[in-house]
This record gives sequence, C-alpha cells and structure tokens, in this order.
Amino acid sequence: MATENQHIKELVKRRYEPGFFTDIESDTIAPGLSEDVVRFISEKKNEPGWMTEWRLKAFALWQNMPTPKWAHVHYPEIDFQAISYYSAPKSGAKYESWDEVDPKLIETYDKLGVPLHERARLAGVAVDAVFDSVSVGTTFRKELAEAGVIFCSMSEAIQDHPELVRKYLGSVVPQGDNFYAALNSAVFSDGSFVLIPKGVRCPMELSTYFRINELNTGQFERTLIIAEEDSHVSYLEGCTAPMRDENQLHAAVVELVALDRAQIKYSTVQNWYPGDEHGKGGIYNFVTKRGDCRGERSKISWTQVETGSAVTWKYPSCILRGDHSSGEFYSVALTHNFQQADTGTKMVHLGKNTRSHIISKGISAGRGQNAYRGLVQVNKKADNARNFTQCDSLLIGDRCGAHTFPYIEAKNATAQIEHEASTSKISDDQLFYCLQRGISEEDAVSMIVDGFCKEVFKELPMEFAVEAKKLLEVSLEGAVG
Amino acid sequence: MSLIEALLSTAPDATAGWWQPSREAHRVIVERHGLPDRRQENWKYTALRPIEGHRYQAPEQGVLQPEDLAELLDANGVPQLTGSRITFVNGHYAPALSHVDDVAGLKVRALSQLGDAEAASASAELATEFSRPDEGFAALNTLLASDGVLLEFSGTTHADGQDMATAPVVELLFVDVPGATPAATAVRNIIKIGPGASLSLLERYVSAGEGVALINSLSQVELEAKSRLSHVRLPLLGEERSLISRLDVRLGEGSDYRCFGLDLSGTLVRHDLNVAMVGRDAQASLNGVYAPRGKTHIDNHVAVDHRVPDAVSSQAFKGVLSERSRGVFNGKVVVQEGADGTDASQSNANLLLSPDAEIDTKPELEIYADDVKCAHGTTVGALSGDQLFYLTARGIPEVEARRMLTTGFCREVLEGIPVESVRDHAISLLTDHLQDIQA
Repeated sequence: MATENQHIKELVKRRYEPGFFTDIESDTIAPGLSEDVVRFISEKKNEPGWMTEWRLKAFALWQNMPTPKWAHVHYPEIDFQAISYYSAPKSGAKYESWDEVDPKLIETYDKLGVPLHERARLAGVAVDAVFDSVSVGTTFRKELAEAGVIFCSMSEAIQDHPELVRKYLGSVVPQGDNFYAALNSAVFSDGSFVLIPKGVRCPMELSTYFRINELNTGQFERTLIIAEEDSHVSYLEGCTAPMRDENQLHAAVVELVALDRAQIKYSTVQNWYPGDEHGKGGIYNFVTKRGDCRGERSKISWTQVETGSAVTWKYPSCILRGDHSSGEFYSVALTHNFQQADTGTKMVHLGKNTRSHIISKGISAGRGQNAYRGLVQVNKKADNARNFTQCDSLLIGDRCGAHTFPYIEAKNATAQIEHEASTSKISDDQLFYCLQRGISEEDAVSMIVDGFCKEVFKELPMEFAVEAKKLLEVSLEGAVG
Repeated sequence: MSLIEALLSTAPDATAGWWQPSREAHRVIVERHGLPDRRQENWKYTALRPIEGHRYQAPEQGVLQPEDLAELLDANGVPQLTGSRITFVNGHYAPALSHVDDVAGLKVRALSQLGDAEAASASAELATEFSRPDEGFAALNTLLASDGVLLEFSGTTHADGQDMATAPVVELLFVDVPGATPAATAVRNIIKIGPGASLSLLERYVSAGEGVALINSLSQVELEAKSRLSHVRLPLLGEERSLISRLDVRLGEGSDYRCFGLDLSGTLVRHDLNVAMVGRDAQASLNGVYAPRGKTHIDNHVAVDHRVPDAVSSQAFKGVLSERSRGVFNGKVVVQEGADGTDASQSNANLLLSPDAEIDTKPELEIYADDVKCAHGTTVGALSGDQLFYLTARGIPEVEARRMLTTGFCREVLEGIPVESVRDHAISLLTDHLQDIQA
C-alpha cells in the first residue's frame, strides 16, 4: 500500500515538461471557418491564384464530407467554427538572419531541446521549426543548397518553386482523400518542403519541429518530400504543445514521393500535450501520412514513437507502386491516463515483387486505449508480394485496453502474407527476476518496456532514439503499482 | 422488388400466439434497419448482390418421401449414422423423416408444435432482440422463421475424462427442395444442454434438385455448468443455394463447446458464430474449413466475448480458395474488463490457388483486462515450392503432390471431431471436393 501511495503521488506530480506557454505577441484570426477564411490565409501568404483555387476546391469537398466515426476512439464532437485557423508570431515570419529571430522563440526551442542556432551546428541536423501556423526558421540552408537539396518552408516553396509544388502537392494525398486531409488542404498554413535531387544523398538529417502555442488554434501543416531517382534522405519530426484544459486540433498531411531507387526514411517522435491525469485537455492528433513508392526499387520507411496527444488517429502508409519497391512501418504507441490511440499503417501492394514489413508495439497503461489498425492489400497485378506483420501489445494495469484490427486483402495467388500478434502484461516472473537482483520496480518496468520496444527504437536515428527512450520513461511514470 | 420486400413476402400467414409479440417487435426493427450493406463494418467484404434480384417465395411443404430422402442422402455420400435425426424440409418439421432415440433426458420438439405452456422454455430465446443495424438477417429470422427445433438434453452426468465420442448423437437435417420459383426459408433452433450433460450434434443442410434458394438459419445454444457439446456443421449446398446462418452460444461455468464447420459450396454463405463466455473456466474450440470454388463466396465471422475470468477459447480456420471464389474471415476476441486469466488464441491460414481467387481476413483483438494471454496469427500464401519439390523429387506426380499438400493443409482442422463416423464423413467430403480442384 505504501508503495502504491508513493506511486500515486508521483502520478500527480508527473509533469508534461514541454507544457509551458511562450508569451509572444501573435497575429491570430478570429475563430471560424468559411471560404473567406480560406481566401484570407491564402492572401496572407501571398499565394498565387492556382494555390487559392486548390484550397477552395478542398474546402468545397470538405463541406460535403461527414465527420468520420469509425475509429476506436471517443471524444466530444469538434466544433470546427470554434477554432482559429491562422496564428503567427507577430514579429513576422521571415527572417534574414538568426539575429532577427525573436529571442523568445529561440528560447522556446532551446527549452525544448531543439537545436536552432549554434547548437544546430554541433548537432549536425538541419531544422525547420514551425511555430503555430508558420515556419520560423530553417537552419543549414547554405550547406544543403550546395548539395542541391531544397529544404524550406511550404510557403517559401510555393513562392520559389511553384512548378514543383503544383506537380507534387496532393499527388499522394488528394484534397478529397478524407475529412481531415480535406480540411488541411483548405487551411494549411505552413510545413516543410524537401526535394532531394537525382543521385544525391542528403548530407545531413533533416528535421521539422512543430509547436502549437496559441490558445484555441489548430495546427494544420503540410509536409511534402520528394526524393528523385537514386537519392536518399532521412527526415525527423517532433512536436509539442503547452498544457491547456481545452482540446486543440492538429490535422497535418505528410506526402512522400520516392522515385526510382530513392529512399526516404521518416521518423516521428510525437509528444503533443496528452491532457492531464483526469483526461482534461490535450491535443487531437488526426494526421494523414502517406508515402508513394512511385519508382522501381524505391523504399519508404516510417518510424514513429507516439507518446503524446489525447487522441491519436493516424496511419502512415505506403503505396508500393513501383516494381521491387518496399515499405516499412515501425511504431511504438503509448497511451497512459485517458489517452487514446488508433494508429497503424496501410501497405498497398500494386507493383510486382513489392515487400512490406510492419512492426507495431502498443503499450497501454492507466485507462489508456491503444488500437492497432492496419491494412495489407495485395492487388491483382502485384505478383510475388511479400508482407510480414507483427503487432504486440503490452498492458500495464487492469483498466486499460489494447486492440488489434488488422485488415488483410489478398487478390493475388503469389502473395505471401504473415500476420502475428500477441497481447500480454509484464509477467510476474520477469518482474520477480529483476527485483531479486536489486533492481527497483520502476526501473525493472522501464527495462522491460525498453526491451519490448527495442525493435522499433533501433530504427530511429541515434539522437531520436535517446529522446524516445526518455520520453517513454517519463510517460510511464506512476503506471506501475 | 428489393431483396427485403421479396423476403418479407414470405412471412408465414398464421403462427402460434406465443411467437406473435416478438415477431411484431422484429417487424418494426426490420422496417427500421432493413438488411445490412457493405457500409457496415461487419459486412465490409460481403455484398448481398449474389442473392438479390430473385422473387423469393415460401416453398411448399411436405414434398419429400422417406425413400426420396434416403436416395438424396445416398447421392450426397452421407453414411448411415446411429442416433436421432430431426428432419426439416423447406423449413418445416417432417415427422415421417425424423426419429428420436430413447435416450434418458433427451427432449426434442419442433417449435411449430409447441403448446402455449411448453413454449415458455423457448420464449426467452425467441424474445431476444436483434436491434443492431448489422443484424438484419437475425431480426428477419425471428419475423419469418417457419419452424425449427427445441432441443433440451439433461442426460446423465458424464464421468470426468469420458470421451466425447460416446455422447449421444443428434442430427438436425435441413433439406431444401425448391420448386419452380426461388425459395426463401428461415429456421430457428434452440438448444439447451443441462448441467453435466454431453451431446454430439450434427447440423446438416442438403439440397435436393436444382434451383435458387436462400436459407436463413439462427440457432441459440446454451451450455449449462460442466456440460459439453460437440457441434459439427456441414452445409452441403447446391450451386444456387445461399445460406445466412447465425449461431449464438452461451457457455456456463466449466462447460466445453467444440464447433467444426466445413463449407465447400453454395452461392453465398455467411456464418456468424457468436460465443459468449458467461461462466468461469469455460472452454470453446471453434474450427472451420472453407474451400470454395467457382464463384462461391464464403464468409465466416467469429466473435468470442470473454466476460468472466479464466475461460479459454481457440479459433482455427483454414481456407483453400480456387477458381473465382472469395473467402472472408473475421475473427474477433473481446476480453471484457475483469476477465483476467483469459487465454484466447486465433489462427487463420489461407491457400490461394488461383489468380482470380481472393481472401479478406481480419483477426481482431479487443482487450480490456491485463492478465490475459491472447495471440493471433494469419497467413496467406500459395503452396510452398519446397514442399512440392520434396514430393515430386520422390516420384509423386505434381498433380498428386498438390492434392496431398492441399488436403493435408486443412484436414487437420477436422481431425478433432470426436465422433468417428462424423469425422470420417467430413474428411471424405473435403478430400473428394479437393480431388478435382485444379490446384
């Protein structure tokens, strides 16, 4: 009982470290969504006419779509008219040099441990930081430009590379793809744009850091990564938000295009504010992520560590169009307190000899609900397609839930598909073994969880793996007892 | 005429008074929800198109003579089984084709022949409300069922460790003899196994003659404490016959339920097998083989609901899909809050033998308790080249080798059938069926 009390105390104590709010003057439009708001955003960003039309088409589609209800998550209906669709730090979104950036912003990112300034050089990661609706700065531009890599915010890309944006935007996730993708297409504010030219191996890891700051805002960013023939890129994404009692909406769209023999590795550590221990507040994270292996022998790999958000609803997917292309999905999703996650992947095999590999690890603690939902689809012409799926769930506590909904559709006799799943709790034997060797219960649990997730962590770039491990420890604090 | 209109037109004119209130209640439900469609998650992979477009009518009664039946069973390779047999022809009880052995505690009656007083033991089941939008066929069954069996068995307590093979055998035989017009029938069965009793049940569907027919079958099975039931289901359907069946089973404390299904033919076959664990230490073993060919569509939806601690369930389903056929498997395990000590396993393996065949499978787990052991595995593939090579290298012709591998792949599922004659019958049906599949 004594230890239980201790744990309860810790649970109450548990802090969401990135949960501070930066008091910075910002430009936020009044809540509400209409055609005028879409036009306003487009105008504010000084976009060309075709872009405005593109957004309006998405808005028109969105208006006729019903809110999707099929996911295994429960939350009060969202009032889309109560959200402000644009917010930007007032001091202007464009900076000529780092000295012009509001020191408060840099401080924010420093607190979050995101290397934006000199530290970036040491860390050797190029970062695009998105604060509420706009990109506040991209590092390492010169070095990247020398390699021919374009890495900039989406707004800049629309101005500077309209032909590329027009060609690829919406080519993987069209405007009318789903409810939240349509919403995003209409009101997206910013995001990252990456183009790796033919034959280039991106000289450093690229990274975007998303931060929601203002109250009552939604964040709708759009990321587009194009890897041309024989190129290679590794891209990291991180996210945080202040602690608030209200739920905030984050509906992003990420599109990846891999041409012949190109490889894209996309890693996410998602740590949006999960809400407090009573389930109050937190981010609704409704994201559409899809990669298109358009070229032969191309490869797209998704790795995600999902520890934040009140409700997560996302399925990073691969369309395996090119012959011999391959898709990978590695995921750790943790839900604690009242968090809910419905996440997984879709592997759509269209080309011949395509391969996909799915490893999903779900951890549920407290009253968390964690669902894996996946689709493996082998189409008629996808001869010799191969899939292996493993999804394991770990339950910590008797009020949480772990669910698995794998859809397997095979229309080709040469397909080889394997799916296996297991659900278990941390066994008393394992715990006993550790405790007997003088390891505290908390450390033992953390070790076992770490071992459970190892297959996924080893796919993460080094600095992210360390962060992910720490994040998991913090998120699980107080879960045992 | 829509499918629902056609089916509603087959409603029986006069039915027993005790059945009337629940029929009326379900008429309201059916009018509200209609039939399920592919927008409903449970019908995502099964469209009703193959059974639409017919002007279904309730078929005539009593069109089969005993010698016709003997001939029909003979033609279908059904061996003479010892035990009781209850026969229904076109959804109506056929006393001349039925006999019930004198087994202590065995009480078998046709629902249509129950008096008001006897109906009490079936009233709870018949009043069960099927009000979810995706259970339109169950609601229709309550509204349309012409007959069915009420089977109660309170036989002697079996000795521990006694072989299930020695339990009394009861066969439920459903024969359909469509006339000139497409026939729609609905049957409703209620089966209750008393405390400690053991029974073997064989549920069989046999088609006579040619023609379009749709059978809607719903059975409610209750196993009381420590009782055991082995349940073998063999729908030997003609090419143009379709079967929509639902089986709801409740397992009491320490009871043991074993179900084996073999589906080989028909136009559209859909099984909903819902098993609820309501007593501790209950065991359910759910097994099935489906080997459709031609354009046959076979859909198995299995749902096991663990509501209490320490129950064990297993699902083993295997499919061999050839020609233009399509298979659907949806296995679901729900472990409710508090159902600790649950051990649930699921496996579904599929062989795709033709470029035009398709399988859609979804093994789901929904778990709300932490001290559980749940696992599932699913595979889809073609015959293994290594295995083929092994056999052909030993001089076995390739056609023969394929047959051996295909049969071996799925017959093991049926090997657990406790009654030898039934087991042999099921296995020989499967083997014969796979004989002429172009692997």
